[in-house]
Amino acid sequence: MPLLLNLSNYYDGQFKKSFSGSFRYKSAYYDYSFELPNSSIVDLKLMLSHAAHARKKVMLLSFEERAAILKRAAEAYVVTDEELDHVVKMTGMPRMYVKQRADFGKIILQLLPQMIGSRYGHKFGTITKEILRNGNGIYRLTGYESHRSVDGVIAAFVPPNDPAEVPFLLGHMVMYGGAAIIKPSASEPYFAVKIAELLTNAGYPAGALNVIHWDTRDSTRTHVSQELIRCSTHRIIMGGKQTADMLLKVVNDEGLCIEEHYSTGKNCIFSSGNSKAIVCPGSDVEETARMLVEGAYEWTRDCVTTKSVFVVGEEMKVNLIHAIQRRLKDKKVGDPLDPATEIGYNEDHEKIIQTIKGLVEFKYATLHFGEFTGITPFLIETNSIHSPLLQQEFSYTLTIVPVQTVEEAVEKINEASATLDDKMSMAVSVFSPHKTMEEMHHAAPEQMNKLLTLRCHLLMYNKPSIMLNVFLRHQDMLLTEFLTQPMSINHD
Amino acid sequence: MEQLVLHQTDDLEGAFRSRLDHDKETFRSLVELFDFSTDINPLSLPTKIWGNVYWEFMNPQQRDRILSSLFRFTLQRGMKKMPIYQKSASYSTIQPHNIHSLRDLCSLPVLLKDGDGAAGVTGFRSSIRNDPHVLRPTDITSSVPYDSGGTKGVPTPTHITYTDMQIEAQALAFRCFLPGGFTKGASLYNFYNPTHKGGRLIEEAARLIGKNHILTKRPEDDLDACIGKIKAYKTDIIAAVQPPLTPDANGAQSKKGGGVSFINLIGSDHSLFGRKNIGSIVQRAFVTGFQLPEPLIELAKEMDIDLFTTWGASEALPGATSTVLGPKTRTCQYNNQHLIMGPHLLSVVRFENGALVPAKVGETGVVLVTTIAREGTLFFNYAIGDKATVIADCCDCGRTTPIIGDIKRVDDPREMIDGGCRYC
Repeated sequence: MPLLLNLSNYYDGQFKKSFSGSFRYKSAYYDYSFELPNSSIVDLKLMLSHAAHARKKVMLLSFEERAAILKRAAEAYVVTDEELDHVVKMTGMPRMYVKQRADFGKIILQLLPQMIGSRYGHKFGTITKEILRNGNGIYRLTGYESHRSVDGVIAAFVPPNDPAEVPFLLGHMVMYGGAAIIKPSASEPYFAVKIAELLTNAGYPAGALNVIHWDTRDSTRTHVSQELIRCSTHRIIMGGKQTADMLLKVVNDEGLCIEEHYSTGKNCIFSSGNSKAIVCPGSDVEETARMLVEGAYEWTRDCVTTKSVFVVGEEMKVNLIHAIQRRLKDKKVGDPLDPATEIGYNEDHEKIIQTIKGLVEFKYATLHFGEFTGITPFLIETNSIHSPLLQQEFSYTLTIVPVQTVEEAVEKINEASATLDDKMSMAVSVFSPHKTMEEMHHAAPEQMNKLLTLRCHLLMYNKPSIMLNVFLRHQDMLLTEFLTQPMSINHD
Repeated sequence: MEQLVLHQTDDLEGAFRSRLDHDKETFRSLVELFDFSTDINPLSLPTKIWGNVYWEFMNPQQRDRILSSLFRFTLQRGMKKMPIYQKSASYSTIQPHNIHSLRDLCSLPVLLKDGDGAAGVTGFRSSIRNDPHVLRPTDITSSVPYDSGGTKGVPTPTHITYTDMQIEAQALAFRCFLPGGFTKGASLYNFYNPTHKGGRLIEEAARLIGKNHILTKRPEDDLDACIGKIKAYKTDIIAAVQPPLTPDANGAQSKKGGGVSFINLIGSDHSLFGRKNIGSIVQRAFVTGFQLPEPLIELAKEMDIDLFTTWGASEALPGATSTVLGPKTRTCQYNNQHLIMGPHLLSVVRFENGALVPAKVGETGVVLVTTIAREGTLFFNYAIGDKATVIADCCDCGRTTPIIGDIKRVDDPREMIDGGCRYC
């Protein structure tokens, strides 16, 4: 199929080739490759200047105008088969989940103005919330808290694993009047360009959303990322601490840090950690199994997916294993381009097989599902929280850890989370027989208190870990607070 | 000469041709006054002759005859008055009267900056730390030593007199800046370090052309201040350094113009540059320091900003230049530079069986610098540390000097030592 996707740089509201040549990026899974600009400082500097110019325009847009841009963009948001195929080929993720996530991008654009309005208020054409105070039982206005555009250019480094990330990120930027330069991963560079163009066509000023590509494997381009970091006041790094270290620290040939940017500007670092789950006694086994399988094996292979589940009680564990096994048997494994495929490709599959095989052979783990030939999902059991299964968190692999109590589950999750790069798990799903947290709190307040000490950014109550909520903070970051500068208006 | 300097609104091409016709006549009348079959002191010629644009357009044989005459005088003077040549055993057998053509420069020893003790070859920089006067002629009483970049820790001090500055400024102004599209009445912003020789020469050369404003960046001015001045003074020409886009092993990025480089200026506010941007101010840029990076050339084309460069160093300036004026089919654009022959001479040579051989078209060789006209430090076959490729020996612009390109800083003394020729 001819490649119709535009993989140029995008700035000043136009697709532009680089002044500095191009490079070819090849899919790890398919005989599929494409040309990308291998931008240099020249491209970056020009883009920075365009962004600085556009910043003056976007700052003047009202809340209503920004919301209207997102609305128009959501209306125009269509993901074609070619675009879906492209993401599948580059990531190896099953087409059905890529589509699901790509479609979720549209919903994000639709919901963002509402979320921001409800959380931060909407007044005077700006993001402004009335602050009331209680005076003798009567609430009256004491002032306002307003969020204004930041005074600088934003740099954003976007990973390849989720097509919904880009609408999430760029949608926020539009709502806050941000001017940004986005560097998407070369292994999925397209969605950033698509959404930047979509929002620009919907009315966001040209030059405010720019996308630059370069070959991160090319050592002559290392200083381009360093320059982007230096020239930006706000940096969004989606990819965890390792990626952040690589971008924010400049090391010399001897490996010594000669420049660091953790302390310059503002950095918003989204962890790349995965998720865990706790299954409390009395939980609905079938429903829990359904959500665990959804959280562990569906959507993207890695980020946010559930990698380990701490099951309280032997009986629950046995029942849950059987329920999950039944579901995994029905999973369609194979070519991710097939719309029916549920388990896709994984670059590290051989390595994972070898590790699991070793653990099983040496009785460090029990294999409940999976084969050591071909592509397969794995269901493993281990008692050790120091197992590579918990520390390395393999793709398409769910590890069951049996525990005696909910408290023990929380302790072990916290201990295991402490070994991760940023010492936190992304999300923990808690499966409980109680319908709501309120009910659980009533029935077992100590358990509930313990659960709230979990080292995680998100607690998903009776939900799969992948069910992100646009209305809640993503990990521990609030993009609103990162991408705006607050102002208090004293009205009293 | 002053009344012939161009105005911004004039047809630059036509005016340059008029200037060329005028300079041709001036040159002819000068030639009649001297017998170039003898050894003529180049300092006896009027200083303005070094700003004569006809040098590059004249018959090559005639130019060779004139420059050989001048060089013989300079060589004799150098051998008598420069300690470095006086003390050199390699120069004991050199007979200046054997220089009949500039090709004979190949018979002179190569002057090495840095040598290799193990190979028994020493460069002059090993002794310069203790005695910088080895590079100063003994027959001058007042000079300013300008240090080179000194990428290996020891700079080369070039001793320069007031006359030397005037000579080089003439050549830079009329043989580089004028064909580069500089015009009288324009406003120039000079981003070069004002304490460096190049920075001073640019200012002096611009003054010779007759600029409306010549701004010089102060060391304390940051990018925002510079952009502010570009707007305030309606700067239409900038002179700036552009280090390599990728920092090199020698840290060139940080040493030369890392702060206010050409691309940093554009990155601060692209809308001020190039005819493509409505309301832009800066239309021309003189960018040097290194080879013009290819992406920068592409950007200049895209923005429609005139861009040219000149080879120069504190030891010798100018050595070669590209042009803005001339037919579109000319070769001498961007990094392809016509040799500026006199007051200095660049030779591109290869080593063949222990001898120097001029590089032919298509060949790459070592750049050697030779001084023709200067009171101060005289360099003969000085291996400055660059390599270049001879691109062409003719050009649609009408200049008759060779074009060199792909100029790179190599600075590897081993290459020359291994060449096995004579060294000074």
